[in-house]
Amino acid sequence: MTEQKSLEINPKTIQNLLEEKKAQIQTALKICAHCTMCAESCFLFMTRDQDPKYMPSYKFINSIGTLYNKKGRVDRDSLNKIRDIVWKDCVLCTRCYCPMGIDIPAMIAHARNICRSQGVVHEFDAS
Amino acid sequence: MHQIYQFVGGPLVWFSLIVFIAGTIHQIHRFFTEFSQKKATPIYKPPGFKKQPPIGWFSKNAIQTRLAMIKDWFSKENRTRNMAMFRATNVFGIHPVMSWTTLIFHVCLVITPLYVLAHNILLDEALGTCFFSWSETLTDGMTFVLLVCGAYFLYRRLFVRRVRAITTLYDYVMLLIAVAPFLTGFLAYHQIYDYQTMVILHILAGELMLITIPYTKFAHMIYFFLQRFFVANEYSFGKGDRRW
Repeated sequence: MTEQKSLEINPKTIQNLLEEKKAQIQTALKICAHCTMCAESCFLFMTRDQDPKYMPSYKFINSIGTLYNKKGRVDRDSLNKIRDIVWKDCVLCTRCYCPMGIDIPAMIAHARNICRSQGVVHEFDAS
Repeated sequence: MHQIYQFVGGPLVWFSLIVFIAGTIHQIHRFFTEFSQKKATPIYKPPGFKKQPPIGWFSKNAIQTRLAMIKDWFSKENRTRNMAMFRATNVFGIHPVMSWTTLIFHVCLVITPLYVLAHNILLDEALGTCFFSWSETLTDGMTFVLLVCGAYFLYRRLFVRRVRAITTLYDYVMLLIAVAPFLTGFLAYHQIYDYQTMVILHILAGELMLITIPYTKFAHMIYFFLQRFFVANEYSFGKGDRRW
């Protein structure tokens, strides 16, 4: 399938998915001290000229964080931006280290689930 | 002025302590019920792994066994592998300035209020007992060190690109709340500006910090230790039988 179906975004589905991991998402967003100690643990950050957008904290705050804070009421553009963060800027290698013990890969994976539920997926075979 | 002082130094202290203690207990409870699940996937066991019998603390050779284990940690064949813990590839090696600054900051944050002479005099008057006190020069110095560390954090938030990328107003407010008790205390002790006002601000700042601990990102005070002991990952101290 190389074309995405044009579906309306269903906030209720997103809210249900967020509800499944509500406690973890809430804790992760609250506990993140924005200390940036996770940055060097991401090889993408280290090899892309230390661009802040590859920091694990940046990634989960701007993907699952956006979805959670907007309570799932996002438009397709936002979802596309989130798709690019969680699929292009992260490979879910789970090497990321957080001094607070936040499970960042779980947050990214959950954001991927939410995107998929709305038909927003990464095109792995795009030319 | 005196009535304000009576109020903030009386009922408001009780209120903030109750919120702090109840909030902490509430967050600990949430950790064990809502936030973390008990281990669902088995931990990988390398081939040839044999589970050791539990050592305990009070059985016959318990203490000797434990002392032998500690001695063994330093033994020649284990030394290289164990010293790798202090290798330069951990966060202290990669970020020495930030790591040491935050360590010193947190030590001063927790220790200073407990052993400041002024606090102990008040405690003694109120409860009859108190902690021992350190010299005022020492606690004054520790407060100053803490303020310098706080200034370093502010510098990072403003001028370090990667920190600025994820900084919001919330972070500045939290830094202010953390530093305010120490700043106002420092100013009050040195009687800079009006002492009466400064002391009331100091008490209010301390109470504000107490009530924000369980319900903002300061909750890392509670969660840090829970996570290190109870959540299985390569950094946990205990056996870690929970996962996020």
